[in-house]
Amino acid sequence: MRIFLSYNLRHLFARRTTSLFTIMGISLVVFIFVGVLMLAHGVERTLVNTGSTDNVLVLRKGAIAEIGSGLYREQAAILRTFPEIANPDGRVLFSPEIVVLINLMKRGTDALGNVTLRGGSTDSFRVRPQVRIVKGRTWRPGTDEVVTGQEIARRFQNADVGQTLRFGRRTWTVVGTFEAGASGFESETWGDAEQFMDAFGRTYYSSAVFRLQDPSALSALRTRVDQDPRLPLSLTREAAYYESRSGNLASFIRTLGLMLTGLFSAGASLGAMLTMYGAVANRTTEIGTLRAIGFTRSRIFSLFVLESILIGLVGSGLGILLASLLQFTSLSTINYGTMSELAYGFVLTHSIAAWGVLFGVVMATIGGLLPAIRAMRTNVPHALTFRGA
Amino acid sequence: MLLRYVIRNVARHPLRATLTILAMSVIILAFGLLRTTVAAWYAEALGSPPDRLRTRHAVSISFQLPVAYRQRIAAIPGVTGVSYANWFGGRWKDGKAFFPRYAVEPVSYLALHPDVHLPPSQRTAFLRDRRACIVGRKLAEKLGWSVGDVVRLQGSLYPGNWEFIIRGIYTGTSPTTDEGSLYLHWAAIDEPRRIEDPARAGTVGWFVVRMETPEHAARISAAIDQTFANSTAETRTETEQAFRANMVAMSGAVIRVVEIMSVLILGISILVIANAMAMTVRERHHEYGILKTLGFRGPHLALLIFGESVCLSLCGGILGVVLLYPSSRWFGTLLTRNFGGFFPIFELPAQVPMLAVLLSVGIGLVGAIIPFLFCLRCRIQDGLRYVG
Repeated sequence: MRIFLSYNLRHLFARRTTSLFTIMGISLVVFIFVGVLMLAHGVERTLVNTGSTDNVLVLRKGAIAEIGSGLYREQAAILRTFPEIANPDGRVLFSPEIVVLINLMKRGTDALGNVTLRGGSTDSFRVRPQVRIVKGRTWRPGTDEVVTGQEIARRFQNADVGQTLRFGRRTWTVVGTFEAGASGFESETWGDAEQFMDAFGRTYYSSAVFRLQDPSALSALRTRVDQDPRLPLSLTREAAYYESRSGNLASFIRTLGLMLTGLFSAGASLGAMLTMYGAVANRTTEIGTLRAIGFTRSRIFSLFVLESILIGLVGSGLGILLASLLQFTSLSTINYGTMSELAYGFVLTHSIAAWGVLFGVVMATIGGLLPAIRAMRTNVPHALTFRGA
Repeated sequence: MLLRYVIRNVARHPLRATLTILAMSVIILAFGLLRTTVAAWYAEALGSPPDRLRTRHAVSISFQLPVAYRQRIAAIPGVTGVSYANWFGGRWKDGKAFFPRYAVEPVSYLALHPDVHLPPSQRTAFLRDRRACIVGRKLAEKLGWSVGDVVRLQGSLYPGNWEFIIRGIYTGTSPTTDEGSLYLHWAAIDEPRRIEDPARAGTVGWFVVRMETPEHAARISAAIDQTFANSTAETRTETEQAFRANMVAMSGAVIRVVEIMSVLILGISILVIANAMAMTVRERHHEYGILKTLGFRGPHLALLIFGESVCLSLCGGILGVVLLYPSSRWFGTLLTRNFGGFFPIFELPAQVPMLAVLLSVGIGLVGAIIPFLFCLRCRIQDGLRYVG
């Protein structure tokens, strides 16, 4: 086995131009394959990170997202009194919020983006401890001050601390930016609920978020709300809500990307086949010699399969290495699940890397099979008298 | 003379030539599909007629306008027709099969959208019945609907359970018309709202405005927005093309990724060609030595090597383009079935095959550079001494 390996490696090195082209071809395909998976996973991860399993999101019955939902003040007042809601230091962790979309201009373009605007109070921060102000301060209640998620501050015009935004026929001063553990909240803009209601001429909230004292109490609470005619509302775990909002975009990226990657991986496979056929033809005399000194057909076969596996391994390793650099970049597009802007990155996981290696090796092995069979079938006397192609 | 030599050279290794051409064709095919995907993304935006404007709430699409704006828009000089529509939203069955659902004022909407074509009898049936809806041909085919079927929807923006009877299946008269949507009567969903949620009744998502001539777009847009300036619901008016282009731009980064992918796979094809040529040049080392001795100079050798490379890649490119026609149709059906909301239209644009053929020539040229340098560098005596 060790002899085989060093023989293979030396051969790959001896024909380095060809080996390099093949390895690069495979690494490019693996790069794209892994990149697609990383991006789809990035979308899911961002949205999964957004919700907490201890939090419950209240929407109007039938509403699919926070934007089409409505929650009246009376309903919020009833919900607030529920004993199941956690109340550390005597204040309930309950935050009714108004959520609307506004159009802001993206930096460096004249394109508008839909940005989620969330109006709440200090309770919005209390129910979501992962949200932390990193620059400036939070808004003073009852003023035209807003804070922006750091992705919004980075990607949209006039959205950084000290600048002013214009929406709802009023001018708002950005007094801080916040981070939220790479979650979807970083693509939102927050401010005072009462001010937003006033600016948009609305008298009701969109949704409410509260923390459960005991996370398992949700189903009992749900039954109670269902039986209360004053509360035509639906209760979802916050984590489950945000996860469900990722579906379309993530599966779109994944399906489109994988269908196409599948197709051009066939091209790279054919390229690997080309190389391996060349390798076999070049070594006809060698193969004949090996057979003459007692190597069996199956040994010859595995020798060439091993060589293509090596090509696949090196190629996919290189591809994954390249793809891991993508983690330093991120994208921001509309997420159709919420109709609003969402920034997300490429996220590499162990299982994605493993899939990448598997993909590269399979691709190279498929390319190497037919040539290995040809090598196996080499006719010994003929090969020994062979004088170059 | 040299050309014949090139062709003979290609045919010397039938297996290698076949593999290279196949690999090339598959990659060019993938390239073509990626380009078609990008074009399909923009197709609907470019497909809108230039004489239509869209007026919506200035803040964003999550705000609605009072339906009463209709008369005031219609009074603006140069406006020849106004209709309005809203998203119905909702969920069909488990919500997995998504298709756009619009609540419209049917008479004016159909008048302003002549490309949405209904047989006259279905048209009257739809207009007469408030509980009726019409669906696009592609949507009806996909979900197996026919006229007379009942569509049950669970409301989201308009709460409750809704039932609509399909009174017509429309077809698009232009290739860019979306045939994957459902239209229902706006009045049918606004009426219950007037009782249950009067504060939000009488509102629409947007107005569709037809102009006398497209040249007046800027003036009329400004006039509409001026009319409602400083009111509680200010408007933003733009051409339908601009509106759709902006929607497309919102997912621009994903499209850019697809574009980058299409460039990267060209890199793969260059590697495949370069690999094949490197192997060829290496084998013919001896031959090149002889040719050089006979007086063949760099330009001749260049013609031989680049000619062979271009010949291979062009054959692959042409094969790929030939395959592109049936497979883009198949790929399009697959995409519209799964992501009809993203790709209502999927057509192979005319310039893509042209581009693919041109690029395959370029790929052949670039792919041969390194092998050619190798051949140029080697000295005659080394070539002659080389035994393979």
